[in-house]
Amino acid sequence: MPNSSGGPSKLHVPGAPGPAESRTLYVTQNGRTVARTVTVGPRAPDPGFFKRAIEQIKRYDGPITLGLSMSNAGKVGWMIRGAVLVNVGNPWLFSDRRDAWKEIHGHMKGNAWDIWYAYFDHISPNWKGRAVDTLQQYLRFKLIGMFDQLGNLSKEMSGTMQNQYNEVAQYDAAAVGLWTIEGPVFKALTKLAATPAGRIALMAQSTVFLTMSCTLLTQFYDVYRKFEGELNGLDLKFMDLKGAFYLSGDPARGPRDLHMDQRVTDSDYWSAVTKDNQ
Amino acid sequence: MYRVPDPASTEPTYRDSSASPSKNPSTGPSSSVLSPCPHTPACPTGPCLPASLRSSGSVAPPPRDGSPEPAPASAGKDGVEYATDKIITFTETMVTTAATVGQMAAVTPSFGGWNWLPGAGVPAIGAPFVSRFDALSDIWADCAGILREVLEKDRGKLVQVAVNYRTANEESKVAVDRVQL
Repeated sequence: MPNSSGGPSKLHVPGAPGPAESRTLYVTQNGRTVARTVTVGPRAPDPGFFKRAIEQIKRYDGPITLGLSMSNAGKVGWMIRGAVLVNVGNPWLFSDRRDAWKEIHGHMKGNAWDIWYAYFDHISPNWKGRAVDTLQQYLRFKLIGMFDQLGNLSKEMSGTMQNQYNEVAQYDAAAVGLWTIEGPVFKALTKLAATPAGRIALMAQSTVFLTMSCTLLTQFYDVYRKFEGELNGLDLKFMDLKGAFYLSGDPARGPRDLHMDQRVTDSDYWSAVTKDNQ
Repeated sequence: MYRVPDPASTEPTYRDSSASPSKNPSTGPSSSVLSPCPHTPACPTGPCLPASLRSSGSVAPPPRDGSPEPAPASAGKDGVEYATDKIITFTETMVTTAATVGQMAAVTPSFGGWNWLPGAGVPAIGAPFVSRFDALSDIWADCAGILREVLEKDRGKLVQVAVNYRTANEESKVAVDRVQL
């Protein structure tokens, strides 16, 4: 045991997120009372990346739409532009969930260790008999197993959120970059559209723009097709979770009986370690 | 314990016997009445109590920081009482754990309602995926709820074990006393 003070006085969550206020967790007072509050968060607020991206796009959107309509790209151009825009996302939505899952993961792991240490600090030195063995098995195979299942899946969710965050942020950056580059070009070309050469240049430019937009979109769709696989893996892992918690893994059939064995809850099976009988 | 008769007369002998001169200022003035009691629960005034009467048998252990618990507490109590108390301590951990798990179930992250609307932050193509994530979050929260319920109920059972065991122990003691009478 790490300390003999009769309690897991300080268990640091492995992989706990960085410092933030109101995180006075895992501090138990010596022995009896456990004084702590458990909070998830507060995490960093929305840094406004999404808002700035939208503003940036809006600033350059005028010349682009004007150029597209003048170059006869018409409906198709409009649709492609719209498709690019509705896929601009807020990466913070995902990074926030990622951090929340990460904190949850830390709490689940930390609490499993709390139980485990509490057992070895308080129960196993002072008790013997069938009940204690059964209790240990119950902790090892049932209770800690439940914590593990939940903890592992929160880790998975955190990882998936990180992937989404990454892809969404990359796509945003690409879209903003495209608009920022193309905006001034279209602005210049629309001024020349009266001349035949200018008109040809504008049409060529809008073709280039639409091709790049389509590439961007296809890449993003590919990313999500990949997520389909990731989600499939998550679904399978959640079946594990359901199997552990529900009868036949079916929530409709109700939760399993995950409680302690009769032998643990009957005091006849317990025997205290005292001076007389140790 | 010994009483120091007169500070004036003893001071020279202290100087001779004490290993370090720095010890003098602390022992000298305080020992004018009685040397400080070395036991942790201070003995009542006068000479110190014999070891058997002191509530904690230890002779002034060097105060180690933050770990006073196990031995002294047990010495004062009947073994069974101490052991059943330990079950209660264990169940307290289960209580806080259950509370934590319950809170995790309550704050399980999901993309509720408005986040799916186009332009609100989730990419249009991601919207169906997001709703599937939410479905998984719901399963997670439900399972965490089950775990919390298990912890709470089993904790109650363990408390009952401690109570039953202690009651049975006391009853048997009473019975033994009757027989001996």
